[in-house]
Amino acid sequence: MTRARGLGVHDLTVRYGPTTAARRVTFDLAEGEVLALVGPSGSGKSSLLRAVAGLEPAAEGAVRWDGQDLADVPVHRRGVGLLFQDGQLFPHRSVAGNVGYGLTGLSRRARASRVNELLDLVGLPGYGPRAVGTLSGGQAQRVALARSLAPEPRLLLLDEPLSALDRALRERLTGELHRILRVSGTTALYVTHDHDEAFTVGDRVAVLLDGHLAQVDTPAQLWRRPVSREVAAFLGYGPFLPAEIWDGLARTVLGDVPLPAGASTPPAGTATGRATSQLLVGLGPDALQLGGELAVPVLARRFVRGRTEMEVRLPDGQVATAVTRGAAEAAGQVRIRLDPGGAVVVPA
Amino acid sequence: MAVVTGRPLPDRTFFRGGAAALFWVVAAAVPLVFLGTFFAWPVLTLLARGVMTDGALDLSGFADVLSRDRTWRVIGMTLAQSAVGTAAAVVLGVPGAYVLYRCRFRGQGLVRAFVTVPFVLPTVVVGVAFRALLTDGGPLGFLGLDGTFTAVVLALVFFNYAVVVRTVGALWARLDPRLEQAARALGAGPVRAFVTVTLPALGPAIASAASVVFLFCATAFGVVMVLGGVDYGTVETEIWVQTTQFLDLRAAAVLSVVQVAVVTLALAAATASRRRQERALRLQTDSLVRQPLRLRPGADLLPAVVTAAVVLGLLVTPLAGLLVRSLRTPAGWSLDNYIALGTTGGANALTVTVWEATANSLRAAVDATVLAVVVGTLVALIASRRPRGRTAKRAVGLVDALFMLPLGVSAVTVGFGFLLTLDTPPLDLRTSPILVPIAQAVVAIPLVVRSVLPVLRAVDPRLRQAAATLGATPGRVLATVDGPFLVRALGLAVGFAFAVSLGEFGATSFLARPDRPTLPVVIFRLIGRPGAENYGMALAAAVVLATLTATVMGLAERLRTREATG
Repeated sequence: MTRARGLGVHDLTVRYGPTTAARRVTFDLAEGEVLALVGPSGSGKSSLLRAVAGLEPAAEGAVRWDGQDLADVPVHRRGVGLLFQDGQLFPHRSVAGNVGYGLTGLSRRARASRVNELLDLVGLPGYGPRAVGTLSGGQAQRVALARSLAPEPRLLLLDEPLSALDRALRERLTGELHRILRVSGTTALYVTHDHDEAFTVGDRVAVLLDGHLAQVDTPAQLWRRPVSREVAAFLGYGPFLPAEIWDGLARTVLGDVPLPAGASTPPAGTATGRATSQLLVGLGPDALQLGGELAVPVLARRFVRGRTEMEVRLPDGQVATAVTRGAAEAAGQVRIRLDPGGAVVVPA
Repeated sequence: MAVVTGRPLPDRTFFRGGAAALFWVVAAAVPLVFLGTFFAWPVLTLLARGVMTDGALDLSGFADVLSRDRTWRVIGMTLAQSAVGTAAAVVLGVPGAYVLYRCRFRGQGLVRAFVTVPFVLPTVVVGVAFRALLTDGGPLGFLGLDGTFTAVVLALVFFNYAVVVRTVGALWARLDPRLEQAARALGAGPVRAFVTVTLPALGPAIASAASVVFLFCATAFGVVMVLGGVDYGTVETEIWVQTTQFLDLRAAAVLSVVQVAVVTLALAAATASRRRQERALRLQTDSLVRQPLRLRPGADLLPAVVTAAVVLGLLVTPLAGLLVRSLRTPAGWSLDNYIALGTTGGANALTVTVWEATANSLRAAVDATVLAVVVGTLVALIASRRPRGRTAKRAVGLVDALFMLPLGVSAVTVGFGFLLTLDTPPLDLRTSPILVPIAQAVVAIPLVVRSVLPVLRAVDPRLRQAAATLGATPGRVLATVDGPFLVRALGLAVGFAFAVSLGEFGATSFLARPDRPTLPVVIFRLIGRPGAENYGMALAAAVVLATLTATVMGLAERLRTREATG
């Protein structure tokens, strides 16, 4: 049982009729922390979020705050803010009317000053009297964020808040969201399908795959040490090469990758001998560089963001991407080498 | 994850907490008790008359009534009038929907508003207007259409044109034009693109409109009474004749059963197609792309010509004719017919003056509107919830369907049922002036529900959830999220309820006491009496009634916003 301060989700299962959206999910969220919940679409992220908000009942398990079970606490008493993908601003209220909606029990003046404070925070000073219909998509999401933050929820839930925006705006607002959540000291659970966004916004990142929680870690740790092939693949690693352990190294056809410190080393005696293939090496986006020993056929090439990416066929038949800076000559074959820093070792 | 499209999310925030639960129980109880007492009980009692004798099931009444040639003639006439009327309304209404909702041109708003007027006009007024036009000596008397099947059907189309135009037009305006453009880009000509892409998309709306129109035609009373007479009597008028002329209550009850059966079928078809339409609509974007009207052959010329012909020939002519004829007296042009409204007619045709009847009508309409709006709004609130549980979901669906029934059961049946049931204590209302407003409210409730419900349904449940996460109690959510939408829809609902009450004739003709007739009752009585003076008064009174109704609807339309469209 969780005694810690903040949110405790314990063995939570969420069902929609016969389908199970989330299965026995357990994690904690300390006060002031931002946890990014990331996973492919349909992995159950939004269901989990709605269950924490109280919009879906928990089929099993518990949602707790400071150790207290929230099962019987209705949505409006949970002190949980929720930011939807498409804002859901009240169309019949002005910007200020929306932001001030959750500010009950304040004097008119106190409410106005809080509203202005929040509009400043989200970078829309002076927008209070505007009609909601006149806002652009990015502005509407900022207003929705201000509205959610206004009552100072003890926990803010963000459900893919930037997904409906175009890419450039999304990248800018991701950074801004990070700043706003820190400045306001908000405890937040941030759901997204985009791991870059999750890495930017989250203090820790939780990976949800097919309804179960695969890993919860800091962004750096998650990137360096994915616990399974599935997590690594979701983060963008691949293809995966079988590896043998040899002198503390994972040895593949392309080269050696050091085993991570503290990783479960194989039992003594096998360290010098041949082990069966119990490890996989996942190739990161920059793992294969041009200019090595191994010659491989090139299947396709493209020029992206100032570098050339080549699809090559590895000796075992898998297709991988090798990169080099600048535009490379077209060629039927290239020589590649493995950069150990760009690859990870995961259990087979 | 994108949750914008597809099945709406269940709305949990509304079915929690003791106070909220109590609110919903009361909200459900009020309309259930009202319609149970003033609709289900009278109608079921009436139906029981047809199939029960001394408390035992007895179908001999059916055998007897159904073996009469007269019965089959009446049923055949009802089906023929409804089928032809519906077909004509659809064939003429679809081009109208295109021109008035998919294209744009100057003065379109005005034409749209005008097209709606006939729908809310009292049936008696429409009957009188067509009669004035087609009668011997009338402007179109040479056509020899007075008292013919064609005249009745024309009047039915006059009434229901707006139903088709508005139902189909509302969907058409929102149909993504890129779908048809895609078909054109794939090589389909305009006709093929329309038939293979647009028409199937409009199908549910057309089917829905057609079944509603069929329903209105099959239960039309005032128009048939005034224009059809005995030869073109329908089930609805026959119930009235059997009750009031032949005093054969059993035959009337059997006919009511027949009518309920026909109407239930039509209503079931309407509900099914509406459901399909609502499902389909969620997939459409709300792109209000309207192109300018192109008056070239091969472009919009044909629909434009059809629509202009219908609007001018079928809609404007009878109304203009009515106005003109009301200013004609044997002595020439004058306002005498209007001045005579302060009298009780030639040879004392009436028990009260027409102005007194007008006051009666207005008073009854105010009461009926209050009743209908209170009950109808509660029904719409319940039907717009999306609870989680399967039982609760079914219950909501049932409420929705149940309260549409008065739309289908004829007003004559309701009025007749009132006479049978509300004559014993504790509910002895026969002599009470509230009887007429109650019956009118029963007739108006489905229209109130239909104007409020789509607006409430359009409220994204996540708006309510957003409010709840901001700390709003269920009561505050209702007041601050649903409330503003409700208020905008209410303008239209009040207008509909008031207009329907003002013009209600079927039930009122049974229930209005001789010393307190309403305006439609008086008009019908006047045209039934001999004498040019009485006829002239009927025309003038019809103009007054039409003006009142149109004014009320005009005011309601001004309160209406885009959310309330469709």
